[in-house]
Amino acid sequence: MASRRAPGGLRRANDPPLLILVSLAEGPKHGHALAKDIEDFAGVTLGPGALYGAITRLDERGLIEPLPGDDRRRPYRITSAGSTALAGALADMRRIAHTGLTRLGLGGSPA
Amino acid sequence: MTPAEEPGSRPHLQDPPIGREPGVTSGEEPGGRSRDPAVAGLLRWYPRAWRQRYGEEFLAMVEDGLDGQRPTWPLTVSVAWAGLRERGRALVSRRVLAWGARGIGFVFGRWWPIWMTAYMLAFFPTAVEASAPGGRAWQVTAALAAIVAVTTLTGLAVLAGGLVAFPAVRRFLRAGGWAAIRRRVAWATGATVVAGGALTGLSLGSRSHTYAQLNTSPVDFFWVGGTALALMGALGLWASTAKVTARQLDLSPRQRSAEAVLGVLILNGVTVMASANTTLIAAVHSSVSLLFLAVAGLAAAAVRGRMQLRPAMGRARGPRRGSGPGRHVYRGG
Repeated sequence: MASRRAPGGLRRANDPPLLILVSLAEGPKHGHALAKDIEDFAGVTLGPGALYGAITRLDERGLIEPLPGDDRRRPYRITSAGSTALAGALADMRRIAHTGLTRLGLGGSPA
Repeated sequence: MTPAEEPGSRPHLQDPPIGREPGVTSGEEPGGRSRDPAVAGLLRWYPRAWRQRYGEEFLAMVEDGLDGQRPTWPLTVSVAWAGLRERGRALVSRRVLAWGARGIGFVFGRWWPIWMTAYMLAFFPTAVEASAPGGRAWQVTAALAAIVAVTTLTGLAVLAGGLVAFPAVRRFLRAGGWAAIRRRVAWATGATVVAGGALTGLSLGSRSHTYAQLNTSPVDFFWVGGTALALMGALGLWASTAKVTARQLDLSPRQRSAEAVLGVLILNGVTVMASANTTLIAAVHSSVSLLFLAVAGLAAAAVRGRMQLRPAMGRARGPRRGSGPGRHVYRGG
């Protein structure tokens, strides 16, 4: 796993299902593309086991759905339920981040 | 129908023949399965249904990441761990796990006041006064009076909690919240009817029975046990409905604080009820150890109640500076 902790030993927001939903919010992707995108924007390396464990859970819950793929690679896209769940989770994180930054005097912007 | 069962979906990976790794085929490779036995062998850790659903795309992803290299040990271990977790999930369905966790939580967790209340209610129709030795009848009478008094006070606290939340509940229902809790209310109502019927039957049938008679009569014994279970179910379903509803209520900080204080009173009220009940059983059986247990329970309720009540009342005086309107005070767990 690449950097999963921020400076000071605090945990980053590295929940695989959340990262996958964020990645798919940009558009459909297959497994390898998902892993690369997540590494790019979050600095988190998800192994195949962790990635497909999260994909399995998200698929079962109807938050993502498979698309017809070419050859062996099957792309996934976020569903409307997935978008709603992601928006809720990100709003929670934004509120916490805003509060933390404000209390540190770093002026957290709510936007 | 799962995607794997849909007509026209991609080819399924079947369980490999004995002696051959999953995902490895001889000759042609329908669906483009992995040519590398070391990569294909990673699938062996996963259950069959998972391999059929995700196996092929999983192998494709692993191969993309390896770029022609052989799997490393860390990768193999991580995939094996993930595969075993999937096997564990396949063996014990999520529903079974959820019910098991609920059962454990029901007996040992925060639900214990419910089964304790149900247990006492189920035994209440029994003529326990007649069970005590002559010299201890007054203890039984006193314990019964204490149980009735504490039950009444706890009931009043529950009622007050409902009244405090009533305006928010009304707003919630008017905003269309009934649809969210309708099924829960229906189940709880049904369970209450069943439990009420069982308790009425018990009252009519065993009012004159003593503990000794209950212990020697299998019919009475199972009737009491069944009534207690029915009461637990009804109380548990109402508590669950209240919990789900409470999560969606828009309560002011002051209302939340009042609910916190009442919650402390209710929980400790049930502890006192349980201790009074233990006192009663101690009197019936002339048991010093049970009497000690009852006193210890009362002392624990007094200490814990005092510890819990102070912060709850502190919050009732007003929200702390900096806390937002209508926010929960997160206390972990």
